Amino acid sequence: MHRRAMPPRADWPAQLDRIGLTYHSLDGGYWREDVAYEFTEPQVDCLESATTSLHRLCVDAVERIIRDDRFADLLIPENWRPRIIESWERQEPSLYGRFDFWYDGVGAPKLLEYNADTPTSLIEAAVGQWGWLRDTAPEADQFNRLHERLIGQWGTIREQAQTDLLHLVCLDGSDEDRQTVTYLADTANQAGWRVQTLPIEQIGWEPGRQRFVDHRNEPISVLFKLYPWEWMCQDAFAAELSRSSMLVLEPAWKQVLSHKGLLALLWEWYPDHPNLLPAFFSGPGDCTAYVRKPFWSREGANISIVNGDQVLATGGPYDAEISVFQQYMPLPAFDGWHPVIGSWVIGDEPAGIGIREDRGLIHGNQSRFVPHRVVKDVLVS
Amino acid sequence: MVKKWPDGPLSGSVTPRLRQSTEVRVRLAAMADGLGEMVWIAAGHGPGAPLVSDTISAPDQADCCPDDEVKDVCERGGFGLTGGQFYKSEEGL
Repeated sequence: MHRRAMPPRADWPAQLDRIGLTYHSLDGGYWREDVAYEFTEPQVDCLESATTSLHRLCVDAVERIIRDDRFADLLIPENWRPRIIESWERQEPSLYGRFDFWYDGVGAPKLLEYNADTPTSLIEAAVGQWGWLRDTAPEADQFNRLHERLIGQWGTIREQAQTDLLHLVCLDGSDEDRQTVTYLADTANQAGWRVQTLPIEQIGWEPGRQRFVDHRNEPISVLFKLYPWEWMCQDAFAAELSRSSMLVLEPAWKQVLSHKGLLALLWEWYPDHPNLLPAFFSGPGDCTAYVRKPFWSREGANISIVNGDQVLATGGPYDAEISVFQQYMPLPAFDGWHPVIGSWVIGDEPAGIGIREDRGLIHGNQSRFVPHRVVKDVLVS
Repeated sequence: MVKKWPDGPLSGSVTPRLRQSTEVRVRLAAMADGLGEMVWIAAGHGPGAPLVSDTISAPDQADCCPDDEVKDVCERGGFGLTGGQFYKSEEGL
C-alpha cells in the first residue's frame, strides 16, 4: 500500500461534473487526484476477504439480536422492534453497505464502523475513480465492480418485488445526496425498474387507503430512502410507516447494523476475530486508549479519542452520552495523511473500495476522497 | 437475500475475480446535472419518454393532493423533519 503523487487530469472538474459528482470542490476540495493509493493484488484480496467475513458476521448478528432480544442494549424503542423482526423474517432484500476499515497494507483490516443504512461516497467510488483510472492508467486494475453489482442487485430485488416502479428519496437540501440518489436511480433503471426520485419531504400519506404516495399521488410500493431509519422512526409518519406494507430499502433490519452498538455485540460474540477491535457498551474495559462513539452519529461528529491524559474530541449534534467504547488504533500515516478504506458490500458480495483521507485522526465531512489502483508491484519512492 | 452464516475469517486465498467496471454509464446523473438544481427525475415510464424532469414545489406549497376518485385525504411533510435538525445543506450522510 502506497500513496503516490500523480499529475491530475487537466479537465478533472468537468469530468466529474459530467458524471454527477458535482460536489468535488466542497470544503476546499473534496476530491483530489494529485495523489492516489496503490495496492497489490494480495492486499486487495485481504480487504475482500475481510469484507466477506464481516458481512457474514453481521448477518448472523441480526439473527442473534432478534433471537436473544438484545434490542434494549441498542436502545431501540419497543414499538419499532416488530418492524425490524418482521423485515428480517421476510428476508427483505438489502442493496448495499460500506464497512470502514483501518488498514495499513500489512496488518489485518480492522472494522471501525459499518455504514449499513445510508452509506455515501458512492458516485466517487463507483464511477469517479473508475473514470480517473481509465484516463490515467488504463492498463491498471482497480478493486471496483460497484456499478455492475448495483445493477445486478437491483435486478435481484426487482424479481422479489410486486411492482416495477421504484421511488427513491432523500432530503432536499444536499447536492451530494440528490446526485447519489440520481445515480442509484440510473443503475436501477438499467436493471429494468421504472424510477421516480423526489424529496422525502414530498412523500404523502393517504389515511383512507393506508398508503404512501408520491408528489403525483402514485402509490409508493418500493421505496429507496437515503435517510436513516433512526430519523424516520422519529418523524411524524413513524406510526404510519410501522404499519405500512411498503418495501423499504435499506430494510428495517439494517437498523441494528448501522448502530455503533453493533461493534460491542460483535466483539462479545467473536472476541478473537482478526478484523474486529475490542469494543464495549459500559466502558473502555482493559483498553488504555479508546475511542468513544455515540450510538447514532455521522461524519465523525461527537467522537472522542482518549489516550492516557490526552483527549481529542469533535463536536456535533448527537448525544455523546450514549456511546460505545472501542479500542483506539491510530490510523496509519502516509505522507502525513490518514486513510480509511471504505469497503462496499452489494447484496451479499464485496464490490470494491473507496478511500478517504484526512490530516486528522478523526475522519469527518471534510475528509477527502482519493482514487486508487491495483498494481503488480509497488515501487517505493 | 441468501442468508449466510458466519464461519469466522476465511481460510486460504480468495478466488481471483474481475475487478474492473466494464461498463460505466450514468445517463441520468449526467442529464440531471445538465438540467440544473432542484431537478428530480423519472425514467422508464414509457417508450417515448425515457427521461422526465420534474420541478417539485416546496412541501409547504403542496400539502394537499389533487382530487381523486375517492376524495381521499392526503397528508404531506411527515418525513424529513428529524433529519433537517441534524443536517446542514451540502453535508453528506
